[in-house]
Amino acid sequence: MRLIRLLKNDLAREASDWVDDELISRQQAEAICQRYDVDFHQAQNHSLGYRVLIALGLLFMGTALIILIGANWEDIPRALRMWGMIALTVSTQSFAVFRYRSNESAGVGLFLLGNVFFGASIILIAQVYHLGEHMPDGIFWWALGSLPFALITRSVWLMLFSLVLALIWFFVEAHMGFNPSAFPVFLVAACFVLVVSRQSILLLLSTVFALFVYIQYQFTQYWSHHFSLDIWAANAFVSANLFLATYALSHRLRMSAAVKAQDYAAVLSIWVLRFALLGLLIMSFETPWRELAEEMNPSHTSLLYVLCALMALGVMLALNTARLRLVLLLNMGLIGLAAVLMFYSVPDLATVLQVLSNIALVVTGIVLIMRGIQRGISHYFFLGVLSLLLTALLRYADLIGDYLGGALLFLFFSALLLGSAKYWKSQQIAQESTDEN
Amino acid sequence: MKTKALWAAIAFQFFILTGMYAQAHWPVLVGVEVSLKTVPVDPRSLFRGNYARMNYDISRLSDEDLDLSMPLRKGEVVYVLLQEAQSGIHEAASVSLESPDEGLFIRGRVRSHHSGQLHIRYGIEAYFAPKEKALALEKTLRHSAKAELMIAPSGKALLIDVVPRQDGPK
Repeated sequence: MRLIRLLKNDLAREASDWVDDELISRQQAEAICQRYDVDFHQAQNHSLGYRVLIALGLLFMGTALIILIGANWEDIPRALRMWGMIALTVSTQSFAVFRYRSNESAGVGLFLLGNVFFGASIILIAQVYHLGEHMPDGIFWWALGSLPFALITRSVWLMLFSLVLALIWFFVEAHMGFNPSAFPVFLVAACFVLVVSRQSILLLLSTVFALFVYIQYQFTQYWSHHFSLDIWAANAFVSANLFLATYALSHRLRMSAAVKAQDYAAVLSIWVLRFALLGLLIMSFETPWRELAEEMNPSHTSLLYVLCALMALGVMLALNTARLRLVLLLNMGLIGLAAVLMFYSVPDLATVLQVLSNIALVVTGIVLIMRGIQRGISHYFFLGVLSLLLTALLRYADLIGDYLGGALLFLFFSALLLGSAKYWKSQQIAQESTDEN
Repeated sequence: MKTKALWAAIAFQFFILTGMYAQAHWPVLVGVEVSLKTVPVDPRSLFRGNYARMNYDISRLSDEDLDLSMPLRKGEVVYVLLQEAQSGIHEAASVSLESPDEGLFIRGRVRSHHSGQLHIRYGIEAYFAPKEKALALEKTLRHSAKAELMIAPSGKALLIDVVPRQDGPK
């Protein structure tokens, strides 16, 4: 998938320059923008950078107030401080309602500020009454109190604010050994805003991250019988299958006619690919495989049921897409691997798996380079080159001292890269001859 | 329609704040005055404000002193029955999972329970004060402080003040 989908606002502004230089007509620029579902005229007025600066400015204003409260103003009577903060919160939110009716983005900015004041009021009440029994409760009420504004206005910024607070609450609760059972409320709300509002890559990635973390935490609790942020070997397999399900989802979304769904498909596909390469790089060492093999044992059979359920989900999402076979094969491979690690004690298994991971990394790199050249997708090409270079460097570090091994390794990667360059050239020549004909 | 929903959202925030205020203030209105032996230490939190952390004798209890027949889970709500010593300081008499039918008790949550030691938090562990006052508390009251609390009939406690203890070293 082409990254241009993620740069469409820049494309709209670029198109404006082309119109000014009389390279294309205004109608053509509008048609180009329409293809990527971006408003040609609106893109000239506001940029993402502008919105980020406004949002950060408001957040910092609120943070300044929280720090001021943190300084404990003893000189001001407690009741005055507290009711003053409550009044400030309510009046800011009320003013935001009036502004929202005439100017939605200004109203959302004020709601954001009002939500920060709301949090400052919670902190102040805790301070005035020396409340410290369970600090995460305060963060939870802050996130929950901010949530209705995100749902009503369908603003991605307000949703992001509430979701980030919910994530902080989640991690503090988890750190203390509790299960934040109300967390799915925020996940459902974030999914709702993603569906009904304008495109937001930041909210999409935050929601996927929050969902993954929540699912993994529930499995950790199930397998370790207590709530903790520990990562178990079984979690690595669950992560891999979750990524495969996400990959299948990206291809399901790609089939949609909606431009937003296609944009989200591009983002998910790119990030799954990046994490897959990162995972392969980590597993290209022997130690992680050895630790996995040591930790997995026959008592982990429930993991196989979980992996089968995730495979069913992945396959269901991949149905009628071009990646059904790949998703099915990779899922089955992971389940088979988990079963082998659980039930068999094969000598030198970690070394064998390390070699296989390195081969997988090199093959993935080659496939990405070829796909990048064939389809003209630069990020595939560069990811492929990067994975080959990193593999070469990491394995060279393993072979330091062995000159012959090191020389052979670099000779192999040199052949791969030169072969890729030759393939590129042949593709270019073929393309030129097609154009001439 | 949207505007009405936004007003309802503002009302929701207002009720959360007033609800927290009422819940925090409740022991002041209906509670009983209690004194506990405490040791203040001084951490600092940029966002929560300056506060002295209070360590109480009743925060760490030993299985031997208490009638505990089972291990307690982390986060479990417990009720600690208090009895007043001759010095006027209250001490823990027993721990139970149900609120006692009679006597003065304080409600807390188990932080940990292992090796015969029970660590409980009561929500009165933070005493917010300006940095200088928090540091002074730590210096002057390190070995002779008592915390003045109000405890509601439900066992919910509110920390009112930290003052010097009469029986402490001068």
